[in-house]
Amino acid sequence: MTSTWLDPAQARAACGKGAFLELEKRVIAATVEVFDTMVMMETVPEAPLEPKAAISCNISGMLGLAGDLRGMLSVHCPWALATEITGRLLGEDVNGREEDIRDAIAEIVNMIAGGIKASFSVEGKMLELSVPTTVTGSTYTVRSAWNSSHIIIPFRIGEGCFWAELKFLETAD
Amino acid sequence: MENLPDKIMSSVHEIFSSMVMMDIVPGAPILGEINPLQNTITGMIGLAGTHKGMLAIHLPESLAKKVTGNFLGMEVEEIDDDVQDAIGELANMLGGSIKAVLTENGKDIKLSMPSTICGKEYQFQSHYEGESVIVPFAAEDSKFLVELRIKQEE
Amino acid sequence: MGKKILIVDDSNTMRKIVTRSLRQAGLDFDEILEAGDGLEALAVLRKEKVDLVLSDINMPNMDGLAFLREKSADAALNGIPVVMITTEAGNDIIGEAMALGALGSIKKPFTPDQIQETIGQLF
Repeated sequence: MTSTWLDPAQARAACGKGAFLELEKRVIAATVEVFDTMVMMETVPEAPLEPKAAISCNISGMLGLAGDLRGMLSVHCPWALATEITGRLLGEDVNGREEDIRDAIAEIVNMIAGGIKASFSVEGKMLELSVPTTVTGSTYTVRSAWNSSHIIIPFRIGEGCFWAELKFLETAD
Repeated sequence: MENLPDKIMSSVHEIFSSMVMMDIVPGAPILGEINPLQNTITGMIGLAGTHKGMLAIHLPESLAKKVTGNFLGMEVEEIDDDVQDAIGELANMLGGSIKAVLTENGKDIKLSMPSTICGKEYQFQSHYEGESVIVPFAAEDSKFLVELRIKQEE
Repeated sequence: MGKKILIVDDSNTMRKIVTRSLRQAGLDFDEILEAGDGLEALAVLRKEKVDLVLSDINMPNMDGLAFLREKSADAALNGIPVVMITTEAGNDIIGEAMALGALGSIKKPFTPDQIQETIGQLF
């Protein structure tokens, strides 16, 4: 079993700046598409945050990416906004329906990941998707350790805001 | 899939005996609800390819500190970046070990990047139809859980 | 008109999303039926007069492709139109579904308009 801890310099070399910028575009495009089509709420992407930025949220949908890239996609959302988004997605009042809200956020992160995967596959890069997980609570932190490319993009929706976060590393094989 | 609890136990044992150097005793798989997780730290990693799923290790904070201390060979006072990173790496190694036993050719299953979650209280929910196995392990007067959600894709 | 649409998907959330989209697409139907996998779907088709099936591909117990196979082997069910709802499924899976009798596919995420375009003519 080989250790997969990467030397930071190696990690930086593995993700060229070009690939890094492309990633912002892909995440924004995939997220906006999901929100335009399925949620039908206007989202406005804002400038990416510093990776160490603190995010205040109550639910995070997470999905792992594997293949030509190893990554982790997360969507972080405050509960009130998650409730509103779910209501639009399902076409019902979902106040207090925690399970439905979690399922909806899971479905949203799944579709955003699908969009990112599709944007890579037209360029011949194969991405495999893992499965969605949600973390819900009022005080939790999410951290992906590896020295890798990391982007956090805020999306403004009405008065609120959610964040799409992607960490990734190009793999050798 | 056959013998998932056994496969999980063997992978966890492999990693804990070699990298963490801690004695662990597996228990019978847990069938009920494990949430909410309190004062816990979770390392998780996604699996994709011929099998799709997710592997997570949930440790109480005090145990996580001891595990990290053994793993990194240092004293650990609090849940800091080192602890979070170590638990993420643990999930990565467990993922690597389990994928090797799930298929003959370990290459058919790919791993995502690992992530770590920690907090006073959170719910950790997998949203995937597939087999779900949660195995508890006793260690150092405490216990941790390893959770695997997995399904063989066509 | 009394038209019935069957939505087949193991995700309860996804079934609600599709239901909501069908309503917003302005299609003329009376009842939505639901099934969690291919097996349940076949049972519904044998019991009710369904006018259209919208089905996911990846499902436990019996997936979308197996459902298409079973359905086409049953003379009583063969003629019922099926449209697949897919996520990141590659073209080969969609091709397989079409070869097994699906009349079309809708890729997530989709708008009510896209739903209307794809299934409006079948309905």
